[in-house]
Amino acid sequence: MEVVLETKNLSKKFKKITAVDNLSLCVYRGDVFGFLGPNGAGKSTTIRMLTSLIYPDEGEIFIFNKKLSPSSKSVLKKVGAIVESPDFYLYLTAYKNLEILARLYGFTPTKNQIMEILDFVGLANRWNSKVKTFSHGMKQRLGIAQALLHNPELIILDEPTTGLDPQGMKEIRELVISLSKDKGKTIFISSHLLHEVELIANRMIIINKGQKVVEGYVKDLLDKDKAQYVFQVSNIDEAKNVLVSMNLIPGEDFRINQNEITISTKKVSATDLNKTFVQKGIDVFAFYPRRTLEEYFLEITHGQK
Amino acid sequence: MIFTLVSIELYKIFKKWRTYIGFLAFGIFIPILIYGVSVSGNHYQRILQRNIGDQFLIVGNLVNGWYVAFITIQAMIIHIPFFITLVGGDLFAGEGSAGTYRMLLTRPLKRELIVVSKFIAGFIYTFIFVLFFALISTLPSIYFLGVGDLIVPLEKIVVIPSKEILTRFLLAYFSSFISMCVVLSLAGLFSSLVNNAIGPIVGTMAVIVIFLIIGELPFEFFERIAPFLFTKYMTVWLDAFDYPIDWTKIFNSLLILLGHIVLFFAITIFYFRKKDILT
Repeated sequence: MEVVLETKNLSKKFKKITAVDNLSLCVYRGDVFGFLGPNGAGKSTTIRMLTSLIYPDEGEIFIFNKKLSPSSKSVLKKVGAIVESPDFYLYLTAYKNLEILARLYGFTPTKNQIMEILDFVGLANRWNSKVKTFSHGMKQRLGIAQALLHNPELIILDEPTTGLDPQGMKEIRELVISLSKDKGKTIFISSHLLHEVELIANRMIIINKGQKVVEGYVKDLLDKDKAQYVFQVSNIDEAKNVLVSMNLIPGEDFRINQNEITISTKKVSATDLNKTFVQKGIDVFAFYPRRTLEEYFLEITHGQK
Repeated sequence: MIFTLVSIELYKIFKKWRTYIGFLAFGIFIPILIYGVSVSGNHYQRILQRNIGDQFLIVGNLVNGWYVAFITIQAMIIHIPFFITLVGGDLFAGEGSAGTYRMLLTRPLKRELIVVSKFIAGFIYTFIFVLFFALISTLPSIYFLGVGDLIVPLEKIVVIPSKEILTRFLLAYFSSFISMCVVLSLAGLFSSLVNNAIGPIVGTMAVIVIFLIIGELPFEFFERIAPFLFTKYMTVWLDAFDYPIDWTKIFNSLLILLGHIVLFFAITIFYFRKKDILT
């Protein structure tokens, strides 16, 4: 697999505070790479280093196998980025902003190219409006437009759904999926909305206090192959006996928490288990799938505290 | 690429309302001044004749277009620097406060190029502003008040014959342009340090005013310091009206001013090259 983005032992301090500490990560071509961490974990600092807004104290960044440094930024031609909320020249129109920002990449876009990308993000009818008249969501979409206009291979999105309403979030999510699946872009996305990342990312990294906690395939990290179900039942002790009689191991295949039993095994399906409980006279009030990224994230970052 | 960057920077400068404040101010003030001089110039001419008539043989109208142009060029000391800092102070800090550094500096451009383009665009703005000022100070006043000899009432009274005046003004405006480039460079330097344009504007003006005051204080201590203050050389344009012209003094002053431009520019590059963009 071709490595598109790699950091090696990246560190950054602000005075005495270590924002990023010895961080190494790897993004492969075609990945939708989720970049997660609690507030203050060092996500924004890392993204600012990846986009050369700040420079690391130690460590190296390689984009398409080329080292990024103050004197060598040409590789950023292949990168489109939104860093935090996109801000524009408010006194210029959407069209002019895109034209200027594209020219900074060294190419002059045609009117058709700009209108196409504005159409893609749903702003074609506002092409001639000054950006100061735009809502936050519209600026966010214009941010995506500027990140895509020069047809980059790697797209870095820092909290792209911040401040958007549910419809806007859905649109951005669909956009990211489309960019990955239909256009083959590699996407590096940071978000505090774990559900969003769970829905779109194939690989992810979680950082905390500037350090890597875990990195890998979302599917593996969340054990998605394992059945993960929560049962709420009338008699928890009787239910436990039933599970043990089915050769399920406490603490490994299932865990009990007050009136809930969390099942995590492939040995038995949830529907069979439900039937068995009912046959044994145990009322099942509810059962539902579990093991979301949010839980995993809280579990893993809580362990760090 | 540098041409593209400069054109973009110029586009941004001239799309901002603040850029036109100076043009507007002098566009309004100078016609009023010309009108005022034209209606009360005779009275002022009588005062001048009374004061210096026994020393000079005065022929023709002293309160003419050139005289108005000479009055207005005094604005180069404080007023025009203020309008220059309005733009210079915004060159970098404007990007910081608007958050557009995040767009600008994530492009595959060396930061040195961005600094160079912003300074060049600033110098072009300065040139256009000084040119505008020169034209609006001279052409309407000459049209309405006519020409004649120029009387320069400074430390000593110099009367410049009309055939020399155009050359003197060209030299004065050129020197002013270099002086204003120093102002822009200093404002640009301050602007690169912060993320709000108010600081660089106030800071630059404070430096100029304080240096001007120090440079004029009649005490030995300050007299020793004065040659090291760039403001001492910013009034080089006044030397264009001396008689005879002290070319060595003008040349040295311009050289020192150019040295300051290079110094402020170099510090900006040095700092901005590694600046962490946290806005």
